[in-house]
Amino acid sequence: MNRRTFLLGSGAALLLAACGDDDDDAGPSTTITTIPGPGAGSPDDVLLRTGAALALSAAAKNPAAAAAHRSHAELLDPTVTESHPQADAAWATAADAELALAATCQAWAAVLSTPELRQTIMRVGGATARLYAVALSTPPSLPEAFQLTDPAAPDDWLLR
Amino acid sequence: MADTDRALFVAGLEAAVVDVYRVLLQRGSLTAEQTDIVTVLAQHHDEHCVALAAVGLQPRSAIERNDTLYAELNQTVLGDDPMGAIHAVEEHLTATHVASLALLETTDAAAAVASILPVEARHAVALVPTALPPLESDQDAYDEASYG
Repeated sequence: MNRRTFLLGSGAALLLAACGDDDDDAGPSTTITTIPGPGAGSPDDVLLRTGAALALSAAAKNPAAAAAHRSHAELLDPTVTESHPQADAAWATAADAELALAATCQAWAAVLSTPELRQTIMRVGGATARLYAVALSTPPSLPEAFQLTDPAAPDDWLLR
Repeated sequence: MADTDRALFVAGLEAAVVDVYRVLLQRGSLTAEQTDIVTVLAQHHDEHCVALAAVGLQPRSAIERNDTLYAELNQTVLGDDPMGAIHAVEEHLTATHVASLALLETTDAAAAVASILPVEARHAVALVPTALPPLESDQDAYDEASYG
């Protein structure tokens, strides 16, 4: 099962589970209506909105790259004006922010529904990987042969 | 063009880069630091070739280098400013992967490219630390029309 199928399928699975269960355990039901949820738009919209907020968080953590990250947010979802509260709390350094944002873009390139959107997120992801290299060390070091999706933003950071 | 064909086209580009970087290394004209860098880059591009070949359902051994690109790189990478030329190659390859993402239909193929693209972008910035575009572009991609 790929990540997109998981994201799309988990909401329906949780909805069915909730309909057949009358107990008071509110655990997973909190996410039932949130993808695509009233007013939340499509799963693509959720990812792009979250990505834009993460970019604004990265702008705050890495002032040297703030202008670039603001342009990333504008590209992903121009309606987003606030940074991501969980990223703001979790990301301690510029390198933390750049690595997590680059990994998130990579992870979501396998989730977004169209080639155009996958290209868009990786236009951000590639540029962010460069910023990570600069934030990490001087001079920038060479990476491993493949970038990993860890530490991408977890699903419970999605702004649904 | 199907995803498999697109992946194999780009794998051929990666193979051409591997071959020309290895010729450069064999010449022994680089400094020790440059040699270390180019050795790593060649290894990475070989691994990227393997990954793209797999997307195209082929083994690495079935991938033939793109001869058009190889001939071009013989004039630049093996010329007077090899490290400058290598930086240009890394930027062109990054742009090529950006262009691919707009063409690949399957998420599996996109995921493979998405794991490669940032690495090649980081190659570029390791060579030229000021190479920090706000967004990656597909403008300088090695395209089918010129290299197909």
